[in-house]
Amino acid sequence: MMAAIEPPLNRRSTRTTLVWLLLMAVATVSTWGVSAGDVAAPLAAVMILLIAAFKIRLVQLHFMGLRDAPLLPRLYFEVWTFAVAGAVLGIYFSAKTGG
Amino acid sequence: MSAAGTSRRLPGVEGVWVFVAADMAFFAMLFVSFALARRDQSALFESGRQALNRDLGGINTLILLTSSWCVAMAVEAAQRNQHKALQRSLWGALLCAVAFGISKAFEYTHELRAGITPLTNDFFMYYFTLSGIHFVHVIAGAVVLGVMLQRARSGAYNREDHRGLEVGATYWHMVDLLWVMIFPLLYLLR
Repeated sequence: MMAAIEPPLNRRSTRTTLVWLLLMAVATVSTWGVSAGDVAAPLAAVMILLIAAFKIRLVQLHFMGLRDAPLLPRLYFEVWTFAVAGAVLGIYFSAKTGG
Repeated sequence: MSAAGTSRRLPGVEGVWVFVAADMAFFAMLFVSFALARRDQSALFESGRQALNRDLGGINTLILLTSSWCVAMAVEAAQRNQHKALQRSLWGALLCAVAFGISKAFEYTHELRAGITPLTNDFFMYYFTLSGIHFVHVIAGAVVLGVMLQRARSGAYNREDHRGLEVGATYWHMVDLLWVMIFPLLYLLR
């Protein structure tokens, strides 16, 4: 099973570490930058939730291995991420617009 | 892309993915429920959010992301038959899980001493429910990481056989990514 797709493991580990560094950087910006108060609340909400969706997708694809998964499970988890972020944002703005 | 034309596969066994998919669907409903309650009581939810310790929440995010990276590196070490690196990575993940647990316990203790409980208001009901259910997942995950470390020390995982490791890794990554959504909802969204 493994021998058929012998990946360049050293390169994969480098990629995994780069993804982790990106996740740490983006999480730091989201926590102590965007949410600090200088950015208007609605814009901050969009940025914070899009960053969360981006981070989740990175974890799913590069850490969980969904990058090389069959289409159906990958689709489920991709849809989950954007459905959750989209629903939360939709509800957030329905309040802002008095809906 | 890398597997194009060859075998696309889910790591571990299908059963764990069914569990993860169901658990995440459950959390998705909680997230939507939280967002609806927040819409209806925005002032109360904002004052509750401001009472939380954003710095601790942010540090916990960095801790869980690091633990997830350690677990991913552990799986790759097993695929290379690098037993020392495998054990080091699992130790790293386990220490991160313990650090998260200590930090969260400290945060809960501080809140309870300040008189904040799930009964304080709707925000804190959601706060303790969401973070509490997640915390139970972290404790279960720490046990899984401990078992995997023990098995790694006895040489159970290698290039040919590391499905058990992939199963635990899949669960632990889910614990990580759920927090990645819980944290902004509770601590950051103004």
